[in-house]
Amino acid sequence: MVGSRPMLSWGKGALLCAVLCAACGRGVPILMYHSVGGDSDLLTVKPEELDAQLDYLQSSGFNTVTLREVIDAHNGGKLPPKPVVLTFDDGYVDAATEALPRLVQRGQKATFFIISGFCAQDASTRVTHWQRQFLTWPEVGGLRDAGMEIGSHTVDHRRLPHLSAAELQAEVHDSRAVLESFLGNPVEFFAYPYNDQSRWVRLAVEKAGYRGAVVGSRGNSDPFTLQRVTMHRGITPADLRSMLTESWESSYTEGG
Amino acid sequence: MIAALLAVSAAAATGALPTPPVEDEIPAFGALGPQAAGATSVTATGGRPFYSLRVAHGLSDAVDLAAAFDYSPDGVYRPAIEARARACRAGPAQLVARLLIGRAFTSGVGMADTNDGEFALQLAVAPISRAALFVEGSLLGTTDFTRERTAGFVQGAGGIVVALPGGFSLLGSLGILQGVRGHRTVGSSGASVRF
Repeated sequence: MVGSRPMLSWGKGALLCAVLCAACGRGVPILMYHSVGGDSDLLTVKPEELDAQLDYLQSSGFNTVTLREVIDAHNGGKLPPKPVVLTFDDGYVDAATEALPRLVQRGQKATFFIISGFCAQDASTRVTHWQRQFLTWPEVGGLRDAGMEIGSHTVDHRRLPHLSAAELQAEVHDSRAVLESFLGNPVEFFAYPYNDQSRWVRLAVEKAGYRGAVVGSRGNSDPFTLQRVTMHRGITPADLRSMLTESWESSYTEGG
Repeated sequence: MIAALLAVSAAAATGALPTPPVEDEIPAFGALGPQAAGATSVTATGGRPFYSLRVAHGLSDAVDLAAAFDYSPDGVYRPAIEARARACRAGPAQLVARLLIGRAFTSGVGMADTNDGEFALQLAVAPISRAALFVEGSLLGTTDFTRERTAGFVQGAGGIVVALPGGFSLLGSLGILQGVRGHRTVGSSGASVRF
């Protein structure tokens, strides 16, 4: 995504921009994290990398916001200057042990997408899947109590476009119902497992009552296919700066 | 512009003297530009978003070309080239098209270097020869050829220019720059000298 430059000459590029610019534009950047820790997995960000990234966001004047704030802003609400959304998928135990303390320390917030079927009642029955440990319900409640936004990432993290209507309904609707039942407040946002979705799946998510959903790099500014930037191991603050910087016009007009 | 070119061609064909430049009739238009053939102007303005310095030179009585340097205290430096062409003129009114292409270099936090383009149409009316009011609508585009930093903007502004003796003039404008996620006031004032 970053640094991808189409093979356009200046003339063709300028012409293309002149034609397309009225319709294009960038929404609030949404960063997609998964896990934080020492694993060698590419989607596991090292704790020191997360520290450096959160410090960069803070020192550069970025304000972390929730997806609810982003969608509210679409409907006339107000966002702070330089908004950015941090999301953490899957609900690994390191969301509570590594990510949360770092966010709280800096006064930042994030959206955690939880796989409801992987949440155990307590640590003694903690679910281990994909050789990883997942959050318990009390730990999910701890995220919520710390001011974090909780979203649904289905019941079992299955590829939704391949499911029958009944299975899809269960994954999309039941996960929300369970999360809301436990948390006692609305769960308004959804993350498609593997970022895999289709028109049929999007309709099911919308019908289930969600206000929006996130995908990966193939998204856009539509509330049910909100684009995210993948945060993988090795991203430096300089890389993040390149990913989040904007034109002077965007910076100027958003500051008004 | 086509009409002006046709008029010049017709005058040349008949051997008659060409009509005097517009700026001789209405000095306020001379201050707004485009500069007459061979004339040069230096314009300095300050405000939001930019403090600007422009040197414009008339290529013909209807077209000039300017080298510009814009600076913003937010950390933006933008060298640019700007062309202006008088599209038409009717009595105390003129319509001018303006095209700017520049490269914005940034040192501010959260901003990236981009290529900027602007196309504007400016309608000016001079109720008296030494003062003109104008309104201008612009389409602006910015890109570094990534999706994240390619965006379009629109701007509307209005202003006044007053021509003083000796080729000096004062000008000021106020408007709104509208982006996808917000808008902000733009405005500047300054002085120009022609020689």
